[in-house]
Amino acid sequence: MRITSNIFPDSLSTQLQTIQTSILQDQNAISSGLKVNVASDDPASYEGALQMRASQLQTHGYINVAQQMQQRTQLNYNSATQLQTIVTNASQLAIQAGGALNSSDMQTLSVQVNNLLEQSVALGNSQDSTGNYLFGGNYLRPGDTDPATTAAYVPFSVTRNGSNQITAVTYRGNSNVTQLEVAPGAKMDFNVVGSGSGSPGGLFINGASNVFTQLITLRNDLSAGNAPAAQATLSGINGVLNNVSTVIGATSANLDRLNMTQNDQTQQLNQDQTTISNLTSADYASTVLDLNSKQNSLQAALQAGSKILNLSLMNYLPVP
Amino acid sequence: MAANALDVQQQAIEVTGQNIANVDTPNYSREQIQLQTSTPLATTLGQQGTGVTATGIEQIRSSLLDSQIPGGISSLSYYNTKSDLMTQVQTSLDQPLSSLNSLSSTSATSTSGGLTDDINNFFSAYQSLSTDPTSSVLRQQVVSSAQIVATALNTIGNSLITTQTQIGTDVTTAVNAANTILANIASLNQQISSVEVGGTTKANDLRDQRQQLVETLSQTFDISTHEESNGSLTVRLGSAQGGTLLVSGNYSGNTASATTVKLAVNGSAPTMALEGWTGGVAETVGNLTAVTQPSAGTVAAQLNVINSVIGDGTTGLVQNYDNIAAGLANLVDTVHQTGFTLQGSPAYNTAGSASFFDNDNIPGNALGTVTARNIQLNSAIAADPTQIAASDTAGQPLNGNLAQTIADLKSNTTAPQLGGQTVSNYYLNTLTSLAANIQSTTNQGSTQQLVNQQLSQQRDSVQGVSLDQETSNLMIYQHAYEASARLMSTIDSMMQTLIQIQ
Repeated sequence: MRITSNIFPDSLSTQLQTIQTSILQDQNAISSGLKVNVASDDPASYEGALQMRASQLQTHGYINVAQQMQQRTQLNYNSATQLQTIVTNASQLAIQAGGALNSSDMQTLSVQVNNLLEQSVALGNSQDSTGNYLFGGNYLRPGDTDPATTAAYVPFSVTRNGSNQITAVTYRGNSNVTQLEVAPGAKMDFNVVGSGSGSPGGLFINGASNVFTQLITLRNDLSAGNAPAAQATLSGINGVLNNVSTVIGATSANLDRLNMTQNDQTQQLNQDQTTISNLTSADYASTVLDLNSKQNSLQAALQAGSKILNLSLMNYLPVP
Repeated sequence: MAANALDVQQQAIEVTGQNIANVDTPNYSREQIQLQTSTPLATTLGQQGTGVTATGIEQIRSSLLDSQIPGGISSLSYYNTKSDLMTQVQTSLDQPLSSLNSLSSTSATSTSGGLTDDINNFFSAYQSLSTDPTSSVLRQQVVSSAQIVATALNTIGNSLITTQTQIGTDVTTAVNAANTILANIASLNQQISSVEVGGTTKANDLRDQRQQLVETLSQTFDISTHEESNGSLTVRLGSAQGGTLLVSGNYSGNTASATTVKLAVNGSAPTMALEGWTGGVAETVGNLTAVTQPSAGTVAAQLNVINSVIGDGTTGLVQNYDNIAAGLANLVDTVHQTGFTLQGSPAYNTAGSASFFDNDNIPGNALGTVTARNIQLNSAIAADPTQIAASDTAGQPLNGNLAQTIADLKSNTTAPQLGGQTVSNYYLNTLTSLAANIQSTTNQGSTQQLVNQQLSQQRDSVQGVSLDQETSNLMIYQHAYEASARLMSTIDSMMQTLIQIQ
């Protein structure tokens, strides 16, 4: 092949361009920490990274739901244990009524049971931090009023006698349990209803198990000094206690499940992040080594070019 | 004889000087003086030589390589232009991985990681709403995330059209420049055929200029050339057979003649077309005739990116992003219209004004064709987030089942616009298809560059100037000149001797 004067500089220019482009890529990778930034850098890795990103965002959404659910389930659990304490106390008072008590003592017990009844109703109408009723199903909103009476619409509305004692409790909510997705295809109960059948059913009312009815009966029996009748309510109160315990068990299991779900999801989030990093992050050690190697190539090309381009027969022409 | 030899060697030195002077002139082909012995004299002893004569100045060029190189230039120009333009388009899609922030179990969902995050955040906002459908904060989050998705799609849709328009302007500029080159080639054809009319003289420098123009033109689109017997070059767009005639003899687009053509860009989905002159008659401006479409060169790449890569509502990225917008709107609206607002009213209005996403922001108008450029959140919902349907049952404001159903649409593959894919996957495939196209085109460009480099070196090897060779020739011709001068001085000395005898 005949070598002409422009072949060397043209070839050198092309080689330098190639090496410098490659060095620029390494420099970008080192400064940004990413070997893949836009899709055309490596379509397969890019696709993998964005799929992992979508998975991360989905997991993140589930974690948010699980956190919301945990707060609500914890409230449900706390309320149920409070109710358990109330009913246990009522049970103890019913047992006390079986002893040799005078009328005054019976009245005292009656007042205590009435307080427990008021506490139960207050517990049934408790709200979460955003004002939603915990035990109203999915029917009631804060601020709703009864169209007939314009009174505030609460899950458990009460009827009182002349002594301002509760004589009846009516459930205004519904028995719909909202289920939320905490993982793909996995749903869990978000709320516990105030009244509903099944297991677990309503916390306060589940078929024959009605905490309010039992407490009203016990209070009235104690107030009337009817010790045998008061003692007879014990079996109904125990039924209520069993129902509350069932709800507590189910809620507690949900809390455990939510904890496990969140741990799994946090682990999944980190695992996806590791995969994204593996797909897109620059390996500093190998990138720096590669950069050194290319710098050597660039230096060699420049030195070879500077030596070759200086050579010419013109240099040896005799000067006149 | 000696005086003649001095003239010839001087001419040879001038040719060498011409080569040295043009060592860096693009497309210059080295010249070589042709020497032969002069016509001998018949003597009684036989034929006696009369010295040297120069028969011509030959240009060293390879017509094969000259004809191969423009094709390589067109291909390289096509790949490089297409790769650059598609990279620009990719940038306008705004989905670099560097924009993705790291997610932890406690970080906020509000991120700026491109459309991927925007779409997923929209579904996540609905998922959060399902936990508390009465929350005004969560409802506002749904509104904000929907507006972000719509705005991102609007921005990308408009950006694609803007890029398309800009490239269209570049095509027109390139075609106008090509028309000027065509006129210059026709002019050079005329000059070359005039110089070479006797068949003895070659218009070397003019041919160099014409070859340079041909190679410049081949960057714009693929052409084929054929040299006629009078030295003029016929240039066609595309193949030699059937390609549209661009230059014939001294006629090109800028001269009214029976064979003139002028290239123009035709229509909103542009194609190359003839404009102006056909059969010697000036046509009405804009009366365009179809021509062979370029398959290589800058213009072919620009037309390909405009018409195929970016495309319109029926093809390319514009169609893909329209499908994403329409698919998303279709999925969400289909579910949303079955639900109930916070007030318990049905979300669906028979006039269609209560669709979640909208295309015209005109209340009461039925939902029309949703595209990336026109998708928006229904203005009634944007103004009053309680209009978002989150419940699937009337009178159950705390029921978030519908919100959960909409959140689950992220995995739904039934939108007819999305061809059996989820919104996210369709979007991802759109991005990676473009990326694969860029990568493949860039690789083809790199390969073509190596081929062009080899062709260019081969041609340079044949017709390029070697300063070492020219220096060597210079010394040879200088020595020959000195020897001829010495011959003359020797003869002069002999003559002096002869005169002194007398």
